[in-house]
Amino acid sequence: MYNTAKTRPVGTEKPVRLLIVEDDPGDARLVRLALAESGHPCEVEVAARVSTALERLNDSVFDVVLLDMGLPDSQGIDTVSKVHAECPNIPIVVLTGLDDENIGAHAVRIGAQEYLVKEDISSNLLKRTITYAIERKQAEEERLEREKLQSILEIAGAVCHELNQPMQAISGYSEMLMADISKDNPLYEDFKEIKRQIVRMANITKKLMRITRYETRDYIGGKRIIDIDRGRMR
Amino acid sequence: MNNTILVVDDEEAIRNLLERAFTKVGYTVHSAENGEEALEILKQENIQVMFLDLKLFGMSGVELCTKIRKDKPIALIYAMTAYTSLFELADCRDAGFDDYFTKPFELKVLFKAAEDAFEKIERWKKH
Repeated sequence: MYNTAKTRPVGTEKPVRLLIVEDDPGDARLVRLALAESGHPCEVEVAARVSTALERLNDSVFDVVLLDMGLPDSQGIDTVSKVHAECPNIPIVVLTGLDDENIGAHAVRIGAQEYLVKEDISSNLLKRTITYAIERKQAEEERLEREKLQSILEIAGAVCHELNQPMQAISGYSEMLMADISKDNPLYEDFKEIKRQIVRMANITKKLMRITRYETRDYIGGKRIIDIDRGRMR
Repeated sequence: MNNTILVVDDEEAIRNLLERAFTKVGYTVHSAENGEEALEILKQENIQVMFLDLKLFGMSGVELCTKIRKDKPIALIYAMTAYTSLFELADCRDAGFDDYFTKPFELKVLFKAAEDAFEKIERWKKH
């Protein structure tokens, strides 16, 4: 599931695709040099404006974004939100100046993985920060996928259980109708077919309930489960 | 012989189905939608054969069975449920259920259970 996002796992020798959003060519070069020193293969692109960065993120695939906070078209912390919204699956590392550490911390709270003070960047620190940012993002994405799946399975289990009630009624009435008419009656086969289809439905819901391992002990122990059909807690 | 059955299920559709089905084959049926109602009925009527859904509002089917067992040691009490877990089967036996049917079941399976139940009671009474 991680691989369906636009990123690749770290630790392979494939180059890390970096987008540096930085308008100062000097700073951009320093970062490129630090990356080169780190020894890990990188494909680096530089965008000098937030608008260009957003376009590039839309068109191309990156593993991580290094985002400077002092860009000409930056809107401060809103820039982080904008970039995050454009590429929610890609880790963002914010670059701040010495005076802007607060912004860095704020950026992490609203979605960036990490922040770095530009004056303090060494190649080791840069390499470590990028690696951890990518790994943390990957772990986060996997956790979200698992939680989503868990919610879906819980709902599926509850729905299956609720379906058993009307299925029981349909099956039962078909059985009673079949008992009332002779086997020669053409209707007999029609009711038999209804029953057959109910058995089929029941097998499907049984299989799904087994997959969801819908916890039956919850209600036997007296705890509450959701009654979907009537929208109330039981 | 007018044998009487108690059905407890909070689903109206299931109560209606079982009332009609059992009545058609000659039984008298009382039904309740929860444990409290069931216990009230059992105070008034001498019923020895019962079908209880496990999932009820308030008192669970297992709790209800445990309560009924205290006063009616020879009653034949059957569990009905939408689940198919073995944990549940074990819990049912511990609570005193004589058998366990998963929905959707065939009516003829319940009819056989009822028939066997009344036959057993007749046999036990002779001792």
